Amino acid sequence: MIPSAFDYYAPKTVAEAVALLQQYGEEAKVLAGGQSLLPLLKLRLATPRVVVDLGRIPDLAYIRQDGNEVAIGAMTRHETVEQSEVVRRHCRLLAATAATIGDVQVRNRGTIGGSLAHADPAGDFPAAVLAAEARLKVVGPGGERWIAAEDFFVDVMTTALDAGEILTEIRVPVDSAHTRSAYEKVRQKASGFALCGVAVRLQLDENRRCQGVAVGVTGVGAKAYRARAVEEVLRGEALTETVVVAAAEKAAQGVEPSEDAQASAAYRAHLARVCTRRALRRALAEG
Amino acid sequence: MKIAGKHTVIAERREVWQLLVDPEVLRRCTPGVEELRAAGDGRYEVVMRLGVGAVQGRYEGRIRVEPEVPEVVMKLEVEGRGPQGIVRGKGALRLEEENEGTEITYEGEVQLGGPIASVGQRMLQSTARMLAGQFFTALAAEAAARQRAQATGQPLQPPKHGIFRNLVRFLWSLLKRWFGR
Amino acid sequence: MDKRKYVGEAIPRVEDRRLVTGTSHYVDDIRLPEMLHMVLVRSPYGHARINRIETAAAEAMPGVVAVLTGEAIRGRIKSIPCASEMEGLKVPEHPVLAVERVRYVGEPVAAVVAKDRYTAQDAADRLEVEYEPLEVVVDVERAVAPGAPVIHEELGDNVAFVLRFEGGEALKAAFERADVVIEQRLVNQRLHPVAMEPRGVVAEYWPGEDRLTVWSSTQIPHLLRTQLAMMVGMAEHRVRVIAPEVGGGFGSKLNVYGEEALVAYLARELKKPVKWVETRRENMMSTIHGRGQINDVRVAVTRDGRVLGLEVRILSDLGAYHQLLTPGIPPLTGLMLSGPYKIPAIGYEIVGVFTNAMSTDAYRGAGRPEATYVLERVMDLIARQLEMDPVEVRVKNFPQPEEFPYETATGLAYDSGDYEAALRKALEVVEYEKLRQEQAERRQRGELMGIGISSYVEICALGPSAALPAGGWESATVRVEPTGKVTVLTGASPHGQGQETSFAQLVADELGVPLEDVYVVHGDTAVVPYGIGTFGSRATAVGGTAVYEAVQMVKEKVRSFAAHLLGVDWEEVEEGVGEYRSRRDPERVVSFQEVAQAAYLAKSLPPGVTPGLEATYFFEPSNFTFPFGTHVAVVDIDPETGEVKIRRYVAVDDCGRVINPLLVEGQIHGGIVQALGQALMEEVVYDEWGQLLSGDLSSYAVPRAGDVPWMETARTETPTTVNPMGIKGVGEAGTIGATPAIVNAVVDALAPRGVRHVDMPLTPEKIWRLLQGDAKA
Repeated sequence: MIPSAFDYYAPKTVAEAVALLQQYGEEAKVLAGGQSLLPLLKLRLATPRVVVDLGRIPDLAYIRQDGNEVAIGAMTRHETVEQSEVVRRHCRLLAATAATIGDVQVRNRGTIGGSLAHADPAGDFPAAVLAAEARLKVVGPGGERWIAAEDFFVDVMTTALDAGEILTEIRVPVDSAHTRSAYEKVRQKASGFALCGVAVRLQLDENRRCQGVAVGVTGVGAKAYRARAVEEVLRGEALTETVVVAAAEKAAQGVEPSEDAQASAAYRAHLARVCTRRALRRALAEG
Repeated sequence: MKIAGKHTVIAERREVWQLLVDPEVLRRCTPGVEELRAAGDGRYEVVMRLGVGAVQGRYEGRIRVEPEVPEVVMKLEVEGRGPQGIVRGKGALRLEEENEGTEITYEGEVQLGGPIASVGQRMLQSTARMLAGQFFTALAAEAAARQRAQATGQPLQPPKHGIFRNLVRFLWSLLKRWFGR
Repeated sequence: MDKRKYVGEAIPRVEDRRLVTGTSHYVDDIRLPEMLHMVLVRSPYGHARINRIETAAAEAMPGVVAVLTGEAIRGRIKSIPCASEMEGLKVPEHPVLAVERVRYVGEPVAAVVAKDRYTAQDAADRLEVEYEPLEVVVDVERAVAPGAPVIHEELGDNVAFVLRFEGGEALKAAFERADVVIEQRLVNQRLHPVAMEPRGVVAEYWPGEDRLTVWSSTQIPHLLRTQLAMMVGMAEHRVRVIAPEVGGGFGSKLNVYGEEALVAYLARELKKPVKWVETRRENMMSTIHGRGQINDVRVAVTRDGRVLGLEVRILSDLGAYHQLLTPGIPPLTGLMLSGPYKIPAIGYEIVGVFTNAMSTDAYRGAGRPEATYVLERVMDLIARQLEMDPVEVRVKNFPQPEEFPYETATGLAYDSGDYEAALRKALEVVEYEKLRQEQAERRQRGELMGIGISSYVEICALGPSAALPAGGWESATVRVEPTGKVTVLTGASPHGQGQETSFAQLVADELGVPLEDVYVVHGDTAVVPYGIGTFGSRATAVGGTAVYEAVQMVKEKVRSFAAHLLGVDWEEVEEGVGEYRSRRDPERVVSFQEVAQAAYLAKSLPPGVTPGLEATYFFEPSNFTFPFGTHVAVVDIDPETGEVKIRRYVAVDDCGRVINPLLVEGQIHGGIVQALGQALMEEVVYDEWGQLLSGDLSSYAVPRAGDVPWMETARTETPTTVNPMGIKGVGEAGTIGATPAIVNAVVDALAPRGVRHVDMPLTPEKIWRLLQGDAKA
């Protein structure tokens, strides 16, 4: 529980942070909320030579509505996302997801950007940003670029962030009167991470027919994924119980579920189906 | 933890086999290898940087490669030790000719020991799969490079896999952005 | 005049203020000038030969003071002690640092001492140990099978002991007479105790005075002192052990650990203070584990549900070495196999087995939860087989109140009890009949609802010295200081139980002084008379009785001085609250403070009375006590995910007379939470390679607040006859009673699906698999 030595940098601007990452390359690690990195440091499972703390960069923590989107600064704490009036009004799914992360202490320290960039295969926010069809702003040596949430998660704890790039903002399209959403999670009892978590966001027309849908699944495979097969069954359909059940059956289609001491692959796949069904039902019951 | 999977390499079985027993190729293709020395009799001494995300560690150890059925089945054993613990694996590769090339199926068991055992086991299977994927992708690139060299008569330019990997990742994400959805 | 009354009141703990404000002192809060830090290098292998340890690189690092290996200190520190005695017990050498071989993951191989913890850890990482892995055996059944790797070659095989017992009527005849014989294999899984505060040791040596002071997070400061002195070769009276604030133990600190001896040894060798504080990971690897039994049970029953005989084969997973009481725990299971029932014939065989794992030892309940689990599962299996209500089976087999003291076939004499009264009360609180009705209706709808009952009796107030390896008495000193303030010294070593409050309540009432005038001191061998410590639900029943007897002696002296000051015979002294009055002349009053002062000024002494106002008493109990009760759990199971929700939990416990109901309730609550952990969530997992997969708190699930149901507690009160206050003890009751209640409830819920038994922990996936009809679960 004693980290090995590292140099600590607290840059004041994103540009400075990027420069540090460029300078130290693979030897540097970014500290956002520290809820995953610090335990790894203490166990010496992560032994970076340099830690770049984003905590002193002003204006990376904000939530504001910007036209048809809600913009969330990467250093915004889970608790802030959960409590934010803007998020609750305009992208309920994110607030609902934030409320299920870890415990109060974790939510008070952990940040949305940190959670996404760490890309834990059982993290909650990855499922939510997939279902919310968010886009992520990253800043690197070559300037800024936007990455769609779906392209962001590449593999286990591996993202589309290139060396020297920092995730700075998450943008989520605002809910309309016809948006329904829910996050359904079965917790791994020890860690509070998702044994399975499913986020759904639906756009319904006046006849409760499904006009748009995105389903994000976490905890099941090596990375969070869009459950496209589920979406295909739902899109354009009137969302009856029969349709919901049929769609949820496809929640783990095309995915190789993980197996470890916490759960078997079969159970994870099963939970993906159960959570999808329940998330859809809850979303539809919303209004 | 059991892992299994398959990959196709566009090359003849004999060529793929040749790549698999070439220490230079192994050194280039095995993710994280810093040093690899042949110690004879299918044994290699290695220094590897292994890990995923923030969890990275340096391991010293041995690889043992044993052709069980030449050009068809190869047995593999790996054990590495470092301050974070022990990584060890055991398994077999089976090569089968396919229309377009050679299909490699792998099956094995990986284990973690020491400090990393309990924290790391949650990521073990997917990490092993990812690393296996990287290995075979690199192997395919090696095969392609050889074929190119043969076809053009140019000297063999061994591919640089770290860059290759990033390139694939980047192109893949570009393609998805353009044609996806 | 009204006597002040504290005993029986729900007084908040006086300890709480410092605990909740973070102002108390744990071992890690002790910082001494020039203090060095120890870090241990531990084996990453479950079983291996040590071929070579290269220390040079570590030693050469700036700031590193010493690097020790097992080889280097061979003979300098004695083997880690095992206090349990048993005929034919194999006791392997247990060095504080491994020599030649390591036998479990986490076994200390080398110690590095440096100027700070960071440097020490860096150096530990630099140490090169060349291991040659050996075949590992962690499965207890495989360890006794032919051809298993032998963990201690010099001992021949992995069987540490075999203990056979048959008592009461003839067992064979009982089974021949039985209408029904039921067999079941029950696994009581290994658990991590997970005290909130890990272990820690600081030692300081003054060469001039030849005096060693050791601060350790321990439950047994005096026993530790005796053992430490022997281990490091010092005279016992030159060693002082202090248990400062101890953040929980649950039995895991009822031990003598190698690290304690190492730190003491190093402080003396280096003549500088040395500190070691365990990390959580170390705590999971190398602090003792609990439970770890496989029980093959056979029970002989009559057609109407009366138990005729019980036979249990216990395979006990001891781990690689004996810690202090390792082999002594499973025999407690044997001893308690009658539970709260009249079982005329009982036989058991206990096989203690070495495995490549950390030692098991006392963990809250220590052997008794295993016995209760066997009995309470058996009662439900009988009910199921005979299609009887589980309540009926239990009631049929209880001894009646007039049968006490009740002698069991295992040789115990239960002091007092009314087991049916506790059961009936629990049923009344939970509204049993209504619940069964509801269950029938919900089963119609295919819902999974279960009701689980567990009646238990436990053995507490450990105990008569003849039955314990190191004394079962307890000491107390009560001292009235010259200003009238009262100091209580107890040989018990509370670490969360709240005796600073309950003992003060007791003494304040007896002396008629305010509660805040009584200060309870514990855990310092230089201050407190020799004592035994806190474990086995003994501190109040045994330690409290010692306090009670000591305060009686002091009271006598107070009365003598009061009479002397009032100029009357002591029969004529009327005791008030904090004052004494002459019955003949009520105008003549002396205060408690005046009495205290007079006793120390000693200007004029009553005839035959010595100065001072202090008494010490060593209480030796004549028997154990046997608290009992019934717990009822009501669960709902999510048929899709297999998750168990405890909808109601009712506990009726009888721990004899109660000094502070708040403390009793706290103990019951905590016990139930730990039991719930075993029933539903917790399990130490070693893979077949001996690696600990449950070695951190993101893998090992201890219950959090959100996992805990509302607990409805009630009591019956049957005082014991073993001590004058009638106190039985309550520290482990919750853990003992609750585990089978929850398991029985889950099995009851799954009964319509044909489930007869499930081994703990009842994780969602296991239940889901059963619901899928997968027999492998």
